[in-house]
Amino acid sequence: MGFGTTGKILRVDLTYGSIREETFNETIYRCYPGGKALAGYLMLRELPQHTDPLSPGNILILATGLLTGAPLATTTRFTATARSPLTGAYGESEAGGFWGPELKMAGYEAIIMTGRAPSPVYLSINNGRIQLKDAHHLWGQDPDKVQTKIREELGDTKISVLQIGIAGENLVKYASLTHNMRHYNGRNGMGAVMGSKNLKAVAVHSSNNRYSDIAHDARALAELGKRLSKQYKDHPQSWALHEKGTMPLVGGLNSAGMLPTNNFNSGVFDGVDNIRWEAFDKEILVGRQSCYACSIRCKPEVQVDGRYKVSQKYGGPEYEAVAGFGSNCGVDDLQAVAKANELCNRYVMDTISTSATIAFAMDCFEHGIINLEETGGLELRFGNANAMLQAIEWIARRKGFGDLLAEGTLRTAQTIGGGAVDLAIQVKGQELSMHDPRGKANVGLGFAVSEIGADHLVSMHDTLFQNDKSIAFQGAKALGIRNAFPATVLNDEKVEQYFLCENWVSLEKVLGFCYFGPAPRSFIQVDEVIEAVQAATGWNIDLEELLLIGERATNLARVFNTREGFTRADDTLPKRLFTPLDAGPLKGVTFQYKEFNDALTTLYKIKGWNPATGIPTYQRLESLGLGWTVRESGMQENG
Amino acid sequence: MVEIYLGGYLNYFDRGKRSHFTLAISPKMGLIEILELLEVPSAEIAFASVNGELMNVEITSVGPDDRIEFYPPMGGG
Repeated sequence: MGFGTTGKILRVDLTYGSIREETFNETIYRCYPGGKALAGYLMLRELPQHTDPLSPGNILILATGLLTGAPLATTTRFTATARSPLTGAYGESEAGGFWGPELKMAGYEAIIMTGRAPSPVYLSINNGRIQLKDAHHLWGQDPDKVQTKIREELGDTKISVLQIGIAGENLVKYASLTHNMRHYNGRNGMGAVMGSKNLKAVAVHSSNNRYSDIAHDARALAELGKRLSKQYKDHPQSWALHEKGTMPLVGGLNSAGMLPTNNFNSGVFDGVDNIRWEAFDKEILVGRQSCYACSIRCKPEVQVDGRYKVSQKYGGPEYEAVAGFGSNCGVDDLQAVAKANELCNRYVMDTISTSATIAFAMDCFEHGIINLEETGGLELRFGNANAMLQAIEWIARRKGFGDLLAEGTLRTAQTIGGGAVDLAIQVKGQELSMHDPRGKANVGLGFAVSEIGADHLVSMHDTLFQNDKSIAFQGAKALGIRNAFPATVLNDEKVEQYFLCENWVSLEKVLGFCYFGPAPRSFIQVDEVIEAVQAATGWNIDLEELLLIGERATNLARVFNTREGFTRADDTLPKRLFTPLDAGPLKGVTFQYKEFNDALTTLYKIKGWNPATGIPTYQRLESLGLGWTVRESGMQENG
Repeated sequence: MVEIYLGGYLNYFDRGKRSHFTLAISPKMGLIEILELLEVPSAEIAFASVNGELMNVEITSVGPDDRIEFYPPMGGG
């Protein structure tokens, strides 16, 4: 009987090829129980200030959540954390799938990778045997060949292979990680960090262990899991995720007037009928896949044999990729969108940043800031699907103009000048996800304040809380959500709602929950999350302590950014979002600078951060048990 | 007859789990009455459109051949 963790961390020094285990005690785990919190703790403890993200000095942490691998639907996730080469800030990206549960079953909460291997290697953790193995022959190969070869070499057809693609090898600033060729740690360039370490893959399998071996009350956990596996069908949101995945967002957001279109120039896309759920279902969807022990099975599989050929072996696009390569690049050809997604998955690059960077380049081209000579002949106009696909190839290979685009929108804009920075739709250097925050104000607040740069999974979307009788609102009441507001409103109470939901979503990343598991987004109610943690750990823990863990994890990342020089000035939104939407139901809606800045000040006050600087106050950090971060990071105690 | 589209998860509430279908209605039926007929809770409607124009669910009536779309709150992800 345990407390939901193996207690062990694996340290791999790639420079010297040394591998050793370390044990942490329960006191540490109670404060930093896994995932985002554990990784944040290790980052601040171990990574020297101002480390070059692509130098051997950067550390790459792969950490499971507290419940990762538990027999509960949607508890599959692990985090990849390092200083981000895309933003220079705290870097973090979660993935579901199978690799996290395998690492937990193999006996480890996390792996900390340091240094740089003298030549390409991969790490194998296979039924207790841990080795660094030569990967010369895998470098430059596609993920399917790499996975097959590693499985053959290790004589294990079930081993889960987490790997980089050629984008990671070429240090594309938004290169990702993939495992089992279906699941992606997409954001923040963790693939480039792994590539900079000459680490091609980390393969993990353990056939002997189960989560029940480390759970405090395995029977209670199993009973909860059995209940949840049936419950998802009785909740409309999780039922719809099972039936349709995330694709209904395309048509819905367009009808609401907030589907990112032509690099966020508009919220309405004329070609939407060609890329929405109904077309997707009819034309390219061929099946669904799931993550470990998850009954929802939301992941689409597509196949195309028409204008483009798209293989099923890399899964299929979800909402973000369809909006990113579709409406936001002005492309209404679903087959081309599926091809773009396949290329990103094959080269292992973030579909959000890749599509947003190309949309930005198209905007620059349309404005005459760049021309055919500068793009190497690529006519990067909105709607040009072939140019979009060619750009993806060039980015992954850092060929021609692609070499510049591989740096992301902000660096590209700074290089080409001519007003391009105003067209770069990014925060802290990371491209916006495909949600126009002019239609959902709290999402904008999240884009601005997020430690990892703009991302859509840092809090709950305020579209959920517009009717106090809705199922989503009822599911949020336990978190302290009291009143319903229109999604475009940004008042003090909405800011407080953002804060409450940010702590909850941060906790999900600590526990290893998928965003599509817990309420208010989905079917697992707040008291069931508490029940799961209690059964796994045996801790007498309540919601207040859990939310503090979520808040603590966010503050660890914030302290990291503070010591790297980030300030309130970095918590902003792209200029374009302060201009009114031009058409559709939200025509004329925009952020106002004063209203936005007032909301930011309110949020800082709620969080206990200095309103002028955005730096956490010593008092707040001390109350979160993080006083040590001030002493060790050289921050001023008064924030 | 009117054309009905239930976006997002709203077809969960329809007995036949239909997303897109036609429906015979009484003259000048309101959107709320249509939702009641379909057993879709009005609290789950974030917005509705009639022939492409956003409409207030509480007060709008529809006529023959109208295309009516209902959408739930969309939570992202």
